[in-house]
Amino acid sequence: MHNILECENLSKYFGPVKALDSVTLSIPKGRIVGLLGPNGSGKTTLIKICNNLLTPTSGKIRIGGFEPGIETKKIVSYLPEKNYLNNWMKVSEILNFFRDFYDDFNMDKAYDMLGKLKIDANTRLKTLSKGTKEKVQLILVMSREAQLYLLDEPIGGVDPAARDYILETIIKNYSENATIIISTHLISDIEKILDDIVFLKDGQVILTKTVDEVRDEYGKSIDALFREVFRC
Amino acid sequence: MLARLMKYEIKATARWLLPLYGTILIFALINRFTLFSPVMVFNSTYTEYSIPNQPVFSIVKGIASALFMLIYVLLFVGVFVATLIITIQRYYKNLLGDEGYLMFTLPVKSWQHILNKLLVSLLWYLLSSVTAICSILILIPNKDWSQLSYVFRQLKMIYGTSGIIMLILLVILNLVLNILMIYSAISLGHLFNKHKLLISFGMYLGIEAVNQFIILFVMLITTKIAFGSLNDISFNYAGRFGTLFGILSVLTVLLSAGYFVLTSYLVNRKLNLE
Repeated sequence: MHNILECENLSKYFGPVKALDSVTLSIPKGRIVGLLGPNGSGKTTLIKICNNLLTPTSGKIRIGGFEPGIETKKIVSYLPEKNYLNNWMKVSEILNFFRDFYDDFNMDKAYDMLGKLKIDANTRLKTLSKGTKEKVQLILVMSREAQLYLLDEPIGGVDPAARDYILETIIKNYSENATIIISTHLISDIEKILDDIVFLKDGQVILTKTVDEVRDEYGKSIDALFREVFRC
Repeated sequence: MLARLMKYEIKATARWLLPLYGTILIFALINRFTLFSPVMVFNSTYTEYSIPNQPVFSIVKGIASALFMLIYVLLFVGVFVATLIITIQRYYKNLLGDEGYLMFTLPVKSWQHILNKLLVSLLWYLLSSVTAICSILILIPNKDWSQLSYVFRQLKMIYGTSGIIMLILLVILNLVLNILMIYSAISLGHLFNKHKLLISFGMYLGIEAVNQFIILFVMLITTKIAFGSLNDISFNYAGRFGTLFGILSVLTVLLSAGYFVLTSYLVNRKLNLE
């Protein structure tokens, strides 16, 4: 099968609000995709539906051929914008937690990244700074050998110096067949690693292109195009 | 997967309750020596303690022993309050709070999450009860134990052995029902955008009212069937407690199953984590 993620007329209403409005989208394997749009455009809603944290109002969604559920959770590695760590655990304990629940978790990779970011595995999560917690979460997520990574605002809370390392980490740690979907509005920072872009506006997909197409057709950077499309 | 969930759930909760258990047992031991020390003298009537006319030193000891007793009583109540708070807090925070993003993206069915929370909660209620009973046994001097066995003999006479077993079963089933009611109420409260905890509390009262109505209704009908006329209840009922408890147990199990299904449905299909 060619596509890892397929949505067909996917909609999600919160009362009268259309958070997602008839989204049809196919994302192939082995790509790094930027899911881009202003606040409230439906990025997080789409990602939550992919993770079975929300039930769509109508439409279809398939990840690796499955509807969101146990089978997709085994192959999707998700980084939410929230800090979901259990504060009482030590870093090493949360690593064990991931190893216990995910068959694709690579412990060596996790310790390697912790070492590079100079995070002590014996520290309690409670005592870590907000930025360090985000780094730990990213390490957990990227240490899985998943087929689809869904990263919601992965670099929002970390300093620019760490951003580069994190982006590097993201590129280095995914296998050829895996797809990464990154939702963000810090476009200029991640532009250089993207293969494809999806623009979301008011719950609708208004543009899907490869980065090369954007450069050829518009002669602009993604950041410049974004500013133009979403001008207030 | 359930076993792994339980392992982490027990770890997360034990760090609060185990120290509390230790503390109450220690204070029971302290009270055993201070409360029943020669300073405090039993009145012959066996109904009250009095401090005999003794030097100031003894009065200080008396105050200290009263203080220790107060701490023990507070701890005794505290163990159960803490167990209840942990039941609520683990469900609310670990599943419906930010930690829910981690829990609900694990490759685990949502009903397993609920069963996990339920079983571990139940475990702590049982351990809290055992600890509380142990603390009483530590506190009471050996010579007073005969009083306890007298109480048990009385209970056995009134309810019969099968009645006592049913009673214990019923207490446990009611505990299960209550925990599931709490989960349902919190899940229902979570459907609202504001004042979630307040609404949850209101939901709990509502659920409790519905339960009471159903139980009363069923009991009225079944007692009529089991005991004939309602007026006959006061006569010849000792041997029939088993029947009564049996009916209540079945009802409790059915209600619990209902709330389990409701909670699973809400968590699975309706909830939106913030």
